[in-house]
This record gives sequence, C-alpha cells and structure tokens, in this order.
Amino acid sequence: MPNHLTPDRLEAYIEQTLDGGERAVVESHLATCAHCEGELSDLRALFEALESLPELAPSAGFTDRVMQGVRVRRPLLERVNEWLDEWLGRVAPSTNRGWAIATTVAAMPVLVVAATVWWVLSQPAVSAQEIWVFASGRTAMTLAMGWEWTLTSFAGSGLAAWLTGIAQLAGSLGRAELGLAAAVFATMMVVSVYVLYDNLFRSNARRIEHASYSF
Amino acid sequence: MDYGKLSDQDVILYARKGRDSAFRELIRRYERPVFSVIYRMVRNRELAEDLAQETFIKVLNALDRYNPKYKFSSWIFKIAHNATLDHLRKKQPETLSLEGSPHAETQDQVDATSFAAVDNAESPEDYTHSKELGSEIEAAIQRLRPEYRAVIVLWHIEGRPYDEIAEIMDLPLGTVKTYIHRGRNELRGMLQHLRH
Ligand SMILES: [Zn+2]
Repeated sequence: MPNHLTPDRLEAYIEQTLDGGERAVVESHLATCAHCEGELSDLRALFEALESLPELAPSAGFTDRVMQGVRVRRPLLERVNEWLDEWLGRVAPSTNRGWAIATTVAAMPVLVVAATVWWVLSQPAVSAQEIWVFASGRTAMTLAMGWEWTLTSFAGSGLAAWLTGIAQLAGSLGRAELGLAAAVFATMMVVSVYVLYDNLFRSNARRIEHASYSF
Repeated sequence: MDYGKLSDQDVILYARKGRDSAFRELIRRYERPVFSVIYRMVRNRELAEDLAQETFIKVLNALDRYNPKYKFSSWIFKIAHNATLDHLRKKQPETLSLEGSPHAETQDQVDATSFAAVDNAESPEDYTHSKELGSEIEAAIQRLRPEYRAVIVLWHIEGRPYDEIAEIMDLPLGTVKTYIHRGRNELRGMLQHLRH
C-alpha cells in the first residue's frame, strides 16, 4: 500500500470529525489495509484507556473550607424571599387531599362570618343601612377617643417637657451653633445606619473579615 | 432548594442573590473536575487541594463580574489552569514559557518558544508516589510535558471540546490540536510494551 492513513486522519476518524466523503475514503482504505487497521485499534485502545480514568475527588470538608473564604452578600429582600420559600415548602400541603383540607380550614372563618351576617340580616327589625350607620358611628367614636387619649398622655409626659426645653435652647443659640449641632447629628445618623446595616445584612464571613473596624 | 435541573447560569443567579446553597451547588458540580485536572498537573494531593481551594474561592468571590456569555466551566478551568501554571513556573524560574508563545503558528515556532527542559524540570523524584496516579497509564500521563498533559487531561478525561480548551489555555485552536496529537503519540510510544 503506497499511501497509508496519517495518524491525524485516524484520530479524526475516531473523533468522528471527518465529513462524509473523507469518512468513506478512510473506511475503504481500512477495509483493505491491515497496517492501518492495526494502527486504528491501537489508537482506539489508547482513547478507551484514557476515557476510563476516574475523576478524583478532594478530601472531605472541601466545600466547607472553600465556603470559609467566600463572601456571601445577601440583600434583605432575598433573605425574606428565601425564608418564605423555605417556610412555604414546609407548610404548604404536598397532596391534593392536603390542599382540600387546608382550603376548608382557611374557608371556615369566612363561612362563619357569612352565616352570622345572613342571620342578623334575616331578623325582622334589622336592615343593612341601620347596621352601617351603627358600625361607622362606633368606629368614629373609638378613633376620636384614642386620639384624645394619645394627646393627653403626651402632654403629661416627660418627653413633652424635654422637647419644649430643646426648642427653647435652640431659640437661644446662634446660627453657627445650630449648624454644628445639625452636622454632628447627621454624622451620628449616618454612622448608626452603617453599623445597623453591617450587623444585620452582611454575612458572618464578611463581618469576621472586617471585625477590626466594625463596631 | 433543588438546583438539580438548573443550568450553571441559573445557579449563579441564585448565588449572586446571596444564597449559600447555590454556592455549594457550584462547588458540588465542579470540585471533582477541577481537582482532578489540577492533581494530574501537579501530582501532589495536598498541593492540588490548596490550588483547587484557591481557584474556587477566587471564582466564587468574583461571580458578580462573571460574564454569562462564556461558559462557567471554561472560566473556572481557566482560573484553575492559571493557578497551576503559576505554581509550576515558580518551581522552574529558568524556563521562558510553559506553553510556547501564543503567537507561534508553526510547530517549530511553538517548540522554539516553549520550554524544552522537560527532563531537568520534571525529574521523576517529583512524581507523587500515590496509588491514585500509580497505574501505568497515569504514570505515562505524568511523563508528558505540562502543556501536552493539560490538553490530554482536559480532552480525554474531562471531555472538554477543543475550542473550550483553547480558551482555557489561551492558545490558538491549531496549537491545541497539535499538542493533543503529539501527546497521544508520546503516550502510545510509552505504552507500546503493553500491547499484546
Ligand atoms: Zn494503510
């Protein structure tokens, strides 16, 4: 045989990357050439030996060791979402029967209220308009009483006296002092908002890393 | 949360939202492939664990910068490959380049720009005497120069396609194909005595 198949072509043949025409040429050569057929089976054996090698695993605890170095940032909304997801997963029924029972239980108060309303309205002396006038009158009265109570207890409290004192003090100060006080107050607000954010919404890893300057 | 049916890209979205479990899922998917490649490159389990750990920490802390245009697997293998190369380079400061100039177009140019000092840089004493890499074929892979070894492991054992390997190793596609062809030739030579 003058032109044996090149190793390149044999490899491409095994990898199945030859187009139809080339493939046919290679196959017809292989059919008549024991040398190339031998080369091919050698290569195949190498491919198979390599492919049979296992993937190796790192030692136990690898994931935890990695996670110790990973900063996980969790926006508040995502934490709430995740918590809801998990909670729903635990609470939501998993079967049709479960859903039927859950629906019935959830519908009970509605049924009870509806039955009561129906019963009240079915009494001869009662009309819907009368009930509305009575209920709205009662609500307005309760709100008014509540508001009055709040005002009275505020006026009598130390907070009211304190606020009055502050207002008098502010009145006796000059503009520069007021500006300075406002600046100090604003700075303190910013700092406390940051501390709150840092402690509530950052992961543990993050906090440990920055322990030196978190409060 | 069951990530089983989600693509890498989707799991990454959850990780970006700060879900611890999504990070763990990404590690679960890639710890073996990444560790295997590094282990077969550096031949020392302890060192491979360190490099794999470094790779994951780097990748997972940079998810915000991950461009979903590229496959996540290419990205993490690329970081792993670079970590491995950095280590091998530190070990042999006298060599110019492990994989030849990226501008090399012919095999001669590749050879000229890549390190030829395989023998002194890779003495047999460096081999790990571990059972895991102790088989005849593993030993043969260990004897390949690093760039051949990398393409053989990535293509044959990890099943990465050529274009991905080119991306991982920052090499032209043609060079990757040359390397794998040469690697196979050398392996066949080394394993010849096993033939019936
Ligand atoms: Zn032939």
